[in-house]
Amino acid sequence: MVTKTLCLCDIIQTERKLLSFSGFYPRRDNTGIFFYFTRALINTLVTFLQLFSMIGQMVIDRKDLSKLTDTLLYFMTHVTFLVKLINFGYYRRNLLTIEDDLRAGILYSFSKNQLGILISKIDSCNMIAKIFRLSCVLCILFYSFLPLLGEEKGLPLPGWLPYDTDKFYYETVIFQNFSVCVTAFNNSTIDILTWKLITIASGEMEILKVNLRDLVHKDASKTKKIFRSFIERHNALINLVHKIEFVFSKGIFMQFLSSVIIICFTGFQLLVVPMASIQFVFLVMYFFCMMCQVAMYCWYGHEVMTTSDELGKFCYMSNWYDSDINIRKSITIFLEKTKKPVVLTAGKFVTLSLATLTGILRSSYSYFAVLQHLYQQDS
Amino acid sequence: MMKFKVSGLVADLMPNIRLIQGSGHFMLNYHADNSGALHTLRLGYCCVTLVFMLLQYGCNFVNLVLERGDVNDLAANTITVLFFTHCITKFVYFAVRSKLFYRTLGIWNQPNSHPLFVESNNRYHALALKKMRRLLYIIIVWTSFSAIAWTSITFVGESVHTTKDPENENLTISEPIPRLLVRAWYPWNAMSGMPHMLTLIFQVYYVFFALAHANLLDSLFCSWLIFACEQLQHLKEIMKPLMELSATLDTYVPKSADLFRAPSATSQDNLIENDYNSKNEDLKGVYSTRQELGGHFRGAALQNFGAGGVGPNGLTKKQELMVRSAIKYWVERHKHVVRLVTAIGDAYGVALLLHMLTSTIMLTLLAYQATKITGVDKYAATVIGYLLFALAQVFHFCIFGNRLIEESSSVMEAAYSCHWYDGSEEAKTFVQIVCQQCQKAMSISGAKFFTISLDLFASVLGAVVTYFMVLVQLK
Repeated sequence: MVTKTLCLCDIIQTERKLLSFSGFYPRRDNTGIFFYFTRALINTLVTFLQLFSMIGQMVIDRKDLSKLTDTLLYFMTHVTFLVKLINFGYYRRNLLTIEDDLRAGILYSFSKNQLGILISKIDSCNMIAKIFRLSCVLCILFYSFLPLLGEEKGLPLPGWLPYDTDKFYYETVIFQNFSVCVTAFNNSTIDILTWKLITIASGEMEILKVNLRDLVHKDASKTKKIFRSFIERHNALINLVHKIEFVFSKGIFMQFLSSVIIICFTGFQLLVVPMASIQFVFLVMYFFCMMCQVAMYCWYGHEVMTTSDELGKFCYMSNWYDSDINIRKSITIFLEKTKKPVVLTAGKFVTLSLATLTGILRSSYSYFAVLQHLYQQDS
Repeated sequence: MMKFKVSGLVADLMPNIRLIQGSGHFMLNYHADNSGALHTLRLGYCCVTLVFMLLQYGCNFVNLVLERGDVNDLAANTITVLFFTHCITKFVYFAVRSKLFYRTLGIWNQPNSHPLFVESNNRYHALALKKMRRLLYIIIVWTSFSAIAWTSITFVGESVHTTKDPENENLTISEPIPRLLVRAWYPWNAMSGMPHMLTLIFQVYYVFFALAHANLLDSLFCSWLIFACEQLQHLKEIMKPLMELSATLDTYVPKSADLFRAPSATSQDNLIENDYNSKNEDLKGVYSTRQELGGHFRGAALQNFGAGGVGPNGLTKKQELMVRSAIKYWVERHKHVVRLVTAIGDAYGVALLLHMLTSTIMLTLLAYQATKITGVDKYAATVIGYLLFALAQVFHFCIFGNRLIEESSSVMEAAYSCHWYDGSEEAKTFVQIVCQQCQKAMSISGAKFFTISLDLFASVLGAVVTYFMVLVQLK
């Protein structure tokens, strides 16, 4: 029954390697800690410098609405990334405990055929991750080439710099491109890591559902042992989801807050910018990336919620009426627990679900309508 | 291909199925003779219907694009296009997801049965059948009436539309357009004569069949829900006798022999023989009476005291088995209903979501159009007609979705109100688990975004009224 052909930790291998490269993933040993630390420091420094330059620009531009929204757009993304990064850094030790939990034997007590359920979910998550990464890369390319293709020698990102940008033009461009790469790289990796962990939890719950439904209540002592293992697995999964929430929840909350504003402003920019230009295409790509980010969080959170909701129903679908009275009492208590679905919350404030997604889109649209009205009044 | 043996839901819904097939939906199963030639013929009929529908829809759309200059025309044409978008969506949706529909229709092919509950089962089955037929009649009458009303209103009033006066830019003149049911662009001149007559007939066919496509599928969905609700009623009814039966296992019950007599008008001894328990391939674990009790069984039990029976009532081994199997029957039947409702949700959920999306936009525009009503004329009649039709469609499935929610959550009340305290320990744990499960009502959701209930209808209606009020104020 126990299959060790797949180690759940291997699923997040890519993200672990990428985050170790940029110096943020927690390490178990202290070898090469100096270079590790420097990498993290470089990343953080670049991000903060870019942030301050954008704040400067916004202070200058505070009277002109369209220029302000232009800067505000990237500023919000940047701030979100910073909050997520700081949150990740603060709670990074907990990731190691999550990894240990993923290696625990209790999560592997299912048969080979059921592994297919988990594999298919992981595969679809991988595909989404690939599409997301690809669109991020495209965005970065557009960032870099946009000013070069434009008429005037503009900078990729709006920002105030304390020196004359014309004299050090290429150096500034390189610096800004580097900061954009750092942001996109780390931001997308943290997001994909969260999505994969959530998918692992919901995949395991799907397998648990199938096991519960196919459990044959015949031999009392054997069924008792098997059912006990199910309950232990259920507990382990609930703990796993709570740990994931503990690590990532504040970052996700910031993501939701700023996504409302970012989607609204990107939509507004799409209105302002002429349609047949490179900048329009770039804005569309950027819009897609931002939507994808927030939508995927809501989608995977919704998956966990609906999957855990159905545990009770699948337990009912077995032939429990043939079972012993003792097991029936265990089933009752188990059903009581499954009445409350396992939810992921963002900062304990709002749950990750499709309902939240519609709420976010609706708020974005109202802010967008207000902005449009103001813009028409201005012009 | 399936062998043509009508049973279960297919037999009950045969009139619906025949009408759906007749209207051109891609339902190619459920025919006695499915040989190559006939099959191709039927497929050809469906494809021809699809082509006609899409052509006319295309003509409507082209007309929308051509007349986009005038705001009033734009609004009116958008409403028409959205209305027929919904009908086309239902048609295409069925063609694409017909497998799920076949699966749902086949789910009730081999239900379980128990000798003591056959009479109740048959009674509720007959009730469900009656309600499904009645619903079908209402839908047929409503669709025909709508089509006839649409046709007749075409011949009322002037057939004109306003365009800019070519001489004076600020004035508008009215220009005659062909007197047809829906405004559409045709590559030929349909003003009068033979082309006009043919186009008119084609449009009557189009309108009638488009309405039929949408409404018949909705009525199929609602008929499924009626069936599920009646099954839940049956389960609620047999809860009490089930408890009394199970009490005989551990407590002394006077006249326990009566409990084993199946309540039926023509009480026969061979109570198990029925067509339902044939070999089932799809559902493993479904209880089969014949396998459990083996062939012939004497219904009326004889209470023999001191004859070495089981328990304080001296039940025979067969009677004890019958009691345990009754609980099994109840649970398996309930699980079967849960499977049916899940299958209905899988088959139709996305269609409901798409319906609500188009309806929301259409109703918003209709609220805007309603603010321009100046008196009792053709315009008012058409706007109100569209409004009533759209709201009626939403109401149609909301009311049955709501009934399902109510019925499934009332199972717990029935479980509690039966004399469970007199039942055996086994029965008490059975009631406990059933209550747990039934606390959460079974509902149909529109692809997990919203639940189909009267709340949904109320919110839609409320939204339309709000938009209307706001727009009237803004004028």
